[in-house]
Amino acid sequence: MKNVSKVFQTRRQTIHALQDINLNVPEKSIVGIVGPSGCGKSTIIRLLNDIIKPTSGDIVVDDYTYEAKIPADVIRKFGFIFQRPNLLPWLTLRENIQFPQKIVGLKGPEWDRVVDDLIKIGRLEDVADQYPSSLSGGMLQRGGVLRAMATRPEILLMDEPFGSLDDMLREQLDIETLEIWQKLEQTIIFITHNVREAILMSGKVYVMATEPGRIIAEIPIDIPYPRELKIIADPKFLEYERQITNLIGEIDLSTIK
Amino acid sequence: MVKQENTLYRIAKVIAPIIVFLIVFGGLEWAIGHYDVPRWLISKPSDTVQVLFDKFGEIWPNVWVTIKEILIGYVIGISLGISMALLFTSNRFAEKAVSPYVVFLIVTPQIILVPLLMLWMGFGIEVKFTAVALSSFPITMISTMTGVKNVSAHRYELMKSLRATKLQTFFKVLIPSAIPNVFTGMRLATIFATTAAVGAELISGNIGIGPQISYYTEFMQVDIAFAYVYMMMLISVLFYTLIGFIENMILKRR
Repeated sequence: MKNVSKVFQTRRQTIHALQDINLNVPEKSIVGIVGPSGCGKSTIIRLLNDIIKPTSGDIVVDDYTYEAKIPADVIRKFGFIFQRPNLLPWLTLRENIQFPQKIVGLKGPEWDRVVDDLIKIGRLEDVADQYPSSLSGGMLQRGGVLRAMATRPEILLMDEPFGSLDDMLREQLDIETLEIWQKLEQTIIFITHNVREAILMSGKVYVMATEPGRIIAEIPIDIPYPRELKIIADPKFLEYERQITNLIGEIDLSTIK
Repeated sequence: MVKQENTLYRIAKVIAPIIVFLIVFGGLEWAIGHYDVPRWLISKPSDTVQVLFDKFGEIWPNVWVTIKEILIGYVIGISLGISMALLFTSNRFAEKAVSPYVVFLIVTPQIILVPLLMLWMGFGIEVKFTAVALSSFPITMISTMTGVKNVSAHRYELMKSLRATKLQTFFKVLIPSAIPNVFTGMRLATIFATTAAVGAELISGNIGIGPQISYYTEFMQVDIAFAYVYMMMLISVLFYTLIGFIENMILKRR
């Protein structure tokens, strides 16, 4: 994978869900997109994942520019992590993680090994053959993250991945995701409305505003990896947090008037 | 301590229904004897069981006929119900078109069709299992449709993100998601099926559990009639439990 850059502009409906969005995501980095609800964060993910098409503008992955029909090998570069773990209750954890391979038709011992490795990375060996109903919320979330990696995607799209969890569990999972990321070195694009989570995870944060959905700031986070949870008390971290919170706050006030 | 309570509780759970059984049937036995209720009104449980064994050679063929009617009709009925549900839900317009009439199907007693079925099919077993099929299919269909419609949108989104084909989505997500509802329908359908079988027998024909009860009641041989009632209860309970058991086997892992 060379340099991933994506450029799209206006999705021109009566509602301007996204206006002149320019994102540049370097290879193997984590880019966070933070903004208030309704700013079109999820639309970005869905555009990237080709669930919907942009009204205008271009999306470029590596050297490939998105067209009407996107070839399978480009699509396969993406893994999608949902807001909820969304595991299938009639499959064991292992079968759930393997599920995407089955759907796209990846078979053989080397792909079985990928699943084994993922289970090991997620420290889920002991519960791999259990069904989701007997697992804890954190395990399920990790399962959801690992499932997205089963096809060895180069780019992970995370749409408020742990949004339904409490702060403590979410931050713990964020850290675990960082650990997985450092082992597997994918590119991650992730969306959140939680400023702290965005800073904690990302090498670069895009701040979005609503009506129309647009990017108002691009802030590189200059904190080296590996990061631990304790950095959230770091003065540098707090400064970023203040800066981004202010940006979002100003916008909110101006729209309320 | 806690463990002890658990074993105690487990024993109590088994014993309690047995005690109730003894009270009901023992009470019946005692009351009928004590108040000298005439034999042609109510049969003592002990007499009933006695007759059941004595006349088993005569009773069993009739019971077997009823079982056959129920099983054949039920299998046809639920197959029809499930396939029609899948057909109707596969297309938005098809579902909109039929859903008002599905209610008619379920609230109209299918038994009323039996005289017409007799006109078309005669007095054979076909009439009965057709009635059973007609009775067990609407509930299965409705329940399956509910299951299919309630598949979580998140699961479809997962399949979409994986670029799954329609067929894959159907077999790997839709069917397994809907299965609990399918079984609910199938379990309820057993009740409709047994009722329909005996009802159809009463209207048409002279073999099977229904006509036998009616026949022996007319001749005041209540003990034999009661023997048939017991058999019918046994069949219904076993049938319902069997479907519930299969359901548990398939769904227990979730």
